[in-house]
Amino acid sequence: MKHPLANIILAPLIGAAVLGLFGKRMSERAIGIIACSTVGVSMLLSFYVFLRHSAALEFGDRLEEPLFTWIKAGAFRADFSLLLDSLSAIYILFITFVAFWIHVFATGYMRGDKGYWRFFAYMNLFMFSMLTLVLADNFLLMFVGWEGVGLCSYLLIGYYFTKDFANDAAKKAFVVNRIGDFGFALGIMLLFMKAGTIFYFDAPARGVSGAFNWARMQPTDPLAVSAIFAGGITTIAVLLFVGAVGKSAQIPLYVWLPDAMAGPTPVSALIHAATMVTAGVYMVARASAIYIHAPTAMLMIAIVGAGTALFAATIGLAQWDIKKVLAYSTISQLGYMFLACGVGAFSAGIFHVFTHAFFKALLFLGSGSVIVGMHHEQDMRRMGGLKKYMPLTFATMAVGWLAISGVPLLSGFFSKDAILFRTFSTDILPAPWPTILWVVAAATALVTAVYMTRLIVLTFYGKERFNHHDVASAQHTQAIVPGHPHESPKSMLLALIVLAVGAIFVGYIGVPDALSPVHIENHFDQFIRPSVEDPTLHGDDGGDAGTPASLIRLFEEGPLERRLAVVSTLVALIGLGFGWIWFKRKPLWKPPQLLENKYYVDEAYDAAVVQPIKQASRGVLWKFIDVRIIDGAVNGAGLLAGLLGGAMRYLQSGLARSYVAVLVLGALLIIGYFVIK
Amino acid sequence: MVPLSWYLAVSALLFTIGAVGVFIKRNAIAIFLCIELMLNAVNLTLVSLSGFFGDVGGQLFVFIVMTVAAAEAAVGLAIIISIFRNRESLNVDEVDTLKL
Amino acid sequence: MEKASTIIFIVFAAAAVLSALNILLQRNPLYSALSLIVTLLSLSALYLTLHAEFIAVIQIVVYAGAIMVLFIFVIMLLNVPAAQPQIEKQKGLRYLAIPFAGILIAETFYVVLSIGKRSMPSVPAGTEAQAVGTTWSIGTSLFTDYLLPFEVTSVLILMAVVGAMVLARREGD
Repeated sequence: MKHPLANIILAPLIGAAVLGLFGKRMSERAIGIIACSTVGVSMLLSFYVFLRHSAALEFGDRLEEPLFTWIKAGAFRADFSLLLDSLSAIYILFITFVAFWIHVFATGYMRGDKGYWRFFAYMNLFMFSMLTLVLADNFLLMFVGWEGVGLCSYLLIGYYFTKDFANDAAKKAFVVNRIGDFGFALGIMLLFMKAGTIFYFDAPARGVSGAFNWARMQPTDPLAVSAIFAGGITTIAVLLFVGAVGKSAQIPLYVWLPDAMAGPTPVSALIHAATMVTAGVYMVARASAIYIHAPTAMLMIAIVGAGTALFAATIGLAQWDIKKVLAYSTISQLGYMFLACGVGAFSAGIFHVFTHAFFKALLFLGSGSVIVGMHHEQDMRRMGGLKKYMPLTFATMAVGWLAISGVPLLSGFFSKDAILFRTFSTDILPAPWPTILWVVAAATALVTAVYMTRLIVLTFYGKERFNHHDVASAQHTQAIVPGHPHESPKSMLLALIVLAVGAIFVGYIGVPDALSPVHIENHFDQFIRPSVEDPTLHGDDGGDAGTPASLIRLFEEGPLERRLAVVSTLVALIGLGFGWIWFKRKPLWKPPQLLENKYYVDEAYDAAVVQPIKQASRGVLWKFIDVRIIDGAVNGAGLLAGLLGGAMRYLQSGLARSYVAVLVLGALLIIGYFVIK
Repeated sequence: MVPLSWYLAVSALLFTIGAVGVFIKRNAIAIFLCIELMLNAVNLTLVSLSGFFGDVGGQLFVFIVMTVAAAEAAVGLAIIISIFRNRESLNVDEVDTLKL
Repeated sequence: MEKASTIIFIVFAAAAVLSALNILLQRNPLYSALSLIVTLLSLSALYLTLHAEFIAVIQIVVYAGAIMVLFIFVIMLLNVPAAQPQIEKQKGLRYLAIPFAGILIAETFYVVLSIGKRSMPSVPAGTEAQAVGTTWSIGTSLFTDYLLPFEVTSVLILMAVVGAMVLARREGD
């Protein structure tokens, strides 16, 4: 196949076009088949490309597919060209895989909805944008994908467009994203100014130089606040990170993500858990060559990440809506990923993205199954004891619960533990920071375990706090016992099972050396290594397992890593235990007002930003400038024309004599002019 | 010999008188007469300059001017007659319906 | 001889100007027309002093003899009693006349005086027959150098005749 990468991107685009143009007249079955098959094609192609080139990618080779020159203006050049290296290979693998199963789930979840075709058209469009983002080989094309996913997020959050809160949430998501995008765009421009190019890597065949090649040759900026504003690499790094903050919902631009739960649950699963929100992490990891030279930016990322993680976890503890808990959980886990990037452990951050995609999508889809089974009830206060009605959903969600809490042997444990260890032992940040960050991260792990346990206990265990009659299943056509919560249709359950299996086993490709008694190689690290500048991955070439240097390392650091692993396990188990006991006893425990009201952040934004803008727009821009000045000018011009006309009217008196008088006057003037000359 | 400037001065005087007459008089025919007066003043200028420079073109011009004046007088008077038939008055100020 | 020509000039120039003024001063258009005839005759005399014999004669024959007669016919035809109270609109125009006149006179006299006291040459060099102003010279120029204006003028006269006929006839003729 000549252009595999292009086909990966195009398949969902074609799907979106077909569904967008003709979907309205298609049957649900046809729509579902088209939507899932395009993503399936992408998935299969991704696997094919990966398997075919995996050895080369691991070695550091890249697969380039220049499609066409897009912009060429003076010194500026941007191509529509695709790049596959180990980082993007990992991404397209899990994106297409998880997306495929979410699409399958959605064919069941969205059944009966009038906008079925629209939903899948948008979903396919989203896949196109996301894959463009990941496979781009220059910042501008990535920005195109970046904006595209933002747009699809807006379209899908506002899918139920007849509901006001959905529209508001969609607008909020788009606007807050835009703020981040502004920083991102500035970063790209500054990068172009400094490096002269926005491509990632050199491509002499095409005549482009790479920004990362440039960055590698720059001296490292100092670790100082002044570096942020100096206009050098640190400024670029910080500006790019602002974009990541918006897209990946970190403090202070996270406020859109909880509201985005207004969209259908498959949307929350795909976009706001597994893929779009991880775009920020992708970008930071991709630009690791830049970040490595900007330690101030790295520290900033680490602090923001860790802070967001703990902050969001505490809020998640206090929410009653099942999807909101998961939303804050996503924000919190994203904080972990950024923390990893901030301490230089880009590989660990990407690994966590990878495992998180599986178990978070699983959790969201499971919650979707619960919601559908409870006739669209989302408040956990009205759930309870659902274990016996939805056993399969419960089982899969339990897997996700344990994975996210960091229980050993599940995927979440390996990735989270890697982050914790590398935070503690990083060389990049000065003295007290690694320890502080590790403490925050560990505290977050504890809170994570607690709130996830709360979610599971409130939903599936305990007394039934709902009225069976309220749970009518009028919408669903399966033969279900009327008046009871019911298990979901097979299409949905299949997806849950697949993702649960993934959540269990996916972590094993990234087992760290110290924890592998039988020397399971850390394939993940080895694979990712050529694509990211990760100082926590020792050794100059990939996979030096077995060499004397690695053994010495194992010896020195191994014990520390094992000890920290034990600590994280304990933290997880304590959290689980505490949550279990506490919430089994008092499921309806009222959390502190501060947490339940999300630290009043939204209200603060409203007062500090939204209201002043509204007042300024209304009072100044509208009433004063628009009405008085602009309308005044326009009306005034009209009035002036009228006045002038009224005055000039008297010239046309119809009297020949006055005309003659004017003639004579003119003649006199002309003669006078010549006389004087 | 009389200097050229005297002829031109006379011509200027006559022209001025004609111009003043055009917009003082309200009778259409009187206005016409003043126009003829102006034409004659110009004729005088032309002839005097022609004689001074020895160029026959000036006098030829006068010849043409007289012809044109004759034609114009004929047509103009015809128009005045038509207007008079419509309005029973030769007052120019009464013909002012083409106004805003 | 010099003095004589100057006196002749002054006499006829004065006659021309005074009769021109009279045109303005008369209420009855008939009297104005008659004054104009006097002006024309004076001008004709002035042309003679300029040795423009042909033009002088043409002036009397065509202008005073034909055009003014036409005027008199029309005045007689439209027998407007002059005693009617005349409607005057925009009375202010009347007062503009003097300033305009003043300015115009000032401008023209300025130009005229700057020309200076250059004299008219006497009969220019050349034989009588070829002198400027004789019938012979005008005739030859008219039919050689200035043939086109001559022909166009004939078309113009044709237009004028047709136009006058159409305009002046009664409806239903």
